[in-house]
Order: sequence, then structure tokens, then C-alpha cells
Amino acid sequence: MTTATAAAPADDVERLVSLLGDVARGRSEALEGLYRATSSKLFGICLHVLRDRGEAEDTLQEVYVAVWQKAAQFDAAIASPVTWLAAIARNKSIDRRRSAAQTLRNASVEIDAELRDEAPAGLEFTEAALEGRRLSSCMDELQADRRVLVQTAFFDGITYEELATRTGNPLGTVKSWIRRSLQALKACLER
Amino acid sequence: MNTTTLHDDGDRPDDDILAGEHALGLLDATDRAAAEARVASDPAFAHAVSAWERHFAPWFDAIPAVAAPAGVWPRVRDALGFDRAAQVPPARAPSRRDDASEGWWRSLVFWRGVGFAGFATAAVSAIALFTVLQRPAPAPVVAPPEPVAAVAPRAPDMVASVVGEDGKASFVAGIDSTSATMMMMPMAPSIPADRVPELWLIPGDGVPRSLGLLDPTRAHSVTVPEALRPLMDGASIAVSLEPAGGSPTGGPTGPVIGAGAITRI
Repeated sequence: MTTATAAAPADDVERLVSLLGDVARGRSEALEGLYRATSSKLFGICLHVLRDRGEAEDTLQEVYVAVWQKAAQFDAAIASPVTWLAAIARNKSIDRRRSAAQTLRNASVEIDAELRDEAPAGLEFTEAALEGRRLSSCMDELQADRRVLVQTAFFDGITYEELATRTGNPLGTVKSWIRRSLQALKACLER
Repeated sequence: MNTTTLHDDGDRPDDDILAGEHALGLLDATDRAAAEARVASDPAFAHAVSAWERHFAPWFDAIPAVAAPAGVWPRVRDALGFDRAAQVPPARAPSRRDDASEGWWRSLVFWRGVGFAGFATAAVSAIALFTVLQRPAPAPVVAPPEPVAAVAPRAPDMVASVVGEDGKASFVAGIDSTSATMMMMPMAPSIPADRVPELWLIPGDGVPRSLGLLDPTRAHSVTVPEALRPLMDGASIAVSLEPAGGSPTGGPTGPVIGAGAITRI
């Protein structure tokens, strides 16, 4: 069963911040509490990027080991706990995608992948939070095919080369489109 | 058609765009590793990448959650050496830092003893340091590496003297435990031009936690982050020499110039 997760209520956020603080203090039961509260969200991210349960499982384990080691670096004043955790999960998943062994597996999946001309499948966009609405409205200022490029990059964790192959465009063109889109997004988001 | 404001010719995007590409995950293995190294060593670039990650963060909510397989938590627990029956200090999962930091730790145990020898000097210097900081400060020549504590530091109730192999202190710290503020007094340490001193808190579990970079030229304040305050009891501090911007790994990488136990006055 899969569900989209809406923005976390304030007391959930507080609980996660408190758990992260306890993890930073070396409390193993706090890491377990954090795992129970967040593992399905983070596993969903790993699975979405890696598309293989075994790889996603191994990566999820690495993620919580990393959380244990880095918890003292979490600063509630500048980051939300969910975003911090999700970014670790996504980054570890992309690292694994980039590993030599995984690159070979990626190639065979890409050959079979349908050429997408719409937003990545299996995602549910809700704009409950203010930040989501701002991102959404800035994305709307991009042309539809550029939007798809940026979203595909984020959700699938693929390289420029893979993005070019998948969309049937030259590498240089894809780089140029992405860079212009980033420029436009930055200007809009920082308005 | 060329837009000269965008550096999208060939492979030289400007830093902010490169940060965006890295945040999106578009870089191949080599470029990704290079970008990660830059994140660790270049605070401005790290900040740019974080800003992009915050911009895209709402999209995480669109990815469906999937229940994690049952075997993952037990493997995490085993990898980290958690004892199910009792609370034990964290055993670090094996990491590539281990070889460098193990030998370093052994020498630190030696330094703990040296810390007490420097106590008398430290106590006197710490009180003198506190007096200096209470006077109106002249315009700083060097920007302070850490923001000064919002709470006015009170008289120190703990001290630590960062003492090196030669028995000389490179820094003396007067610590006000109520505000978790360390008033650092440099004792004219010699720091090579391409290195910066980084301060480490070493609590009972032996795992160094960074307290940030130090200014070797003037007395200044370091505030201990909230998460680390409970670890101060019975801890030591140490200073290592790191590349500009601080340790790229999260642990000490350069030579340790001294260490000392935190002692109640």
C-alpha cells in the first residue's frame, strides 16, 4: 500500500527534533524511535530512486547508520527534520546508483524504460505547505517539457547522460535546458 | 544564439548552477564525488547546495511511503553494536575514518593526564580572559569564527587548557557551563599559513565532535551547540590543524596540537 504523506503536523516535527537530539547524545532507543517514525518515508524514497527492493533495503540500513553518525550536525534552527532525513536517504540512494556495479544495472533498466513525455509516474503532488505552493507556482513558470526534465532529475536521481538518452535529446541541449531552468527557478524562488 | 549571462557553454556552469545540478543529482559519478568534496571543504558552495535542497524539499512529500522490510532495523542495530538489554555508549559503525582516528585517540588518553598539570595556569588565565572579554571590544581585525553567545558569559566555572607535547598551552578555555560558552584565549600558538585550528569536544564515548574553527589571534567566544551540552561533563577538548574551512570529514584529519580535560574550578 502506498500513500502520499502530507506535511507533518507541528508536534510530529517537535518529536522528531527531540529524537534527533537524543540520537546525537548517543541514545540508541532514540534511533529506534526515529526509525519507527520515518522508515517507511525513507524506504519509499530509496525504492523510488533505486527501483530494486534489495538495493533499497541495503541503502536504508546505510541511511540510519549515517543518521546515527551525523545527528549532532542537525540544526533545527535552519532545517526541518523530515527534509534533513529525506535528503540523506535520497543522497545515499543516488550514491548507490552511481556506484560501478549499479551503473551496469541502471543501463539495462534504462533500455527498457518507456520514453516519458509526462511527469514521473507513481507520484502524488499535494501543496499543503506554503513552500510547496511556492515551488509549484515557480515550476509553472517553466515550459512543460522543462518541468518534466527538472522533476525527472529530482525524482529519478539520474545523470545528465541518462536524462538525455531517456528523452531522446543531445546531451548539450539537456544541460543547457536544465541550467536555464535552474536559473529561472532561482530567480522566482528568491523573489 | 548565446546568452552571455548564462555560463552554459561546455561544462563550466557558475557555482550556483553547479550547486543546483548537484542538488538535483544530475552529476555522474566523477563529478558527483568532486562536488561532494567541495561541499565538505567550501562552506559557500555547501550553503548553495543546501539552499537548493531546501527549494526542492516539498517534492519529497510526493514520493509514496513504503513500509520498510522487517530485517532492516535489526541489521542497523547490529551494525551499530546496540545492546538490546542495556543502554551503552554508541559504538561507531566502521567507517573509513577509523584508521586515522584510532591512533589519534590513543594519544588523547595521554593528554588527559597532561590537562590536569596545566590546571593552575588555566585557572588564572581563564579569570584574566573573562576580565578581558568584559571590557568593550575594539573593532575586530578578524571576524569572529562563531557568533558570540546571546547570553552575557558569566564567570567561568570550568576550565580547560589545550596543552601540547611540549607542555605548553596553545589555547586556554574558561567555560561558563550555564550558558555553555567557552571563552577561548589563544596563547600565541604557531599555526601554518594554510591551516586553521579546529576545536573538538571529546566526551566519554571518545568520539570527537567539532565545536568549530578557532581564531588564533584574539580572545573569542565559542558556544557549545545544545545537542552537545549534556556531553560536556567529564569531557576533554582538543585542537587540530585542518585545511581552510575546517575538517572535510567530520572528524579530525590534521595534527592534534594539544588537548586537555574540562575541569571544574
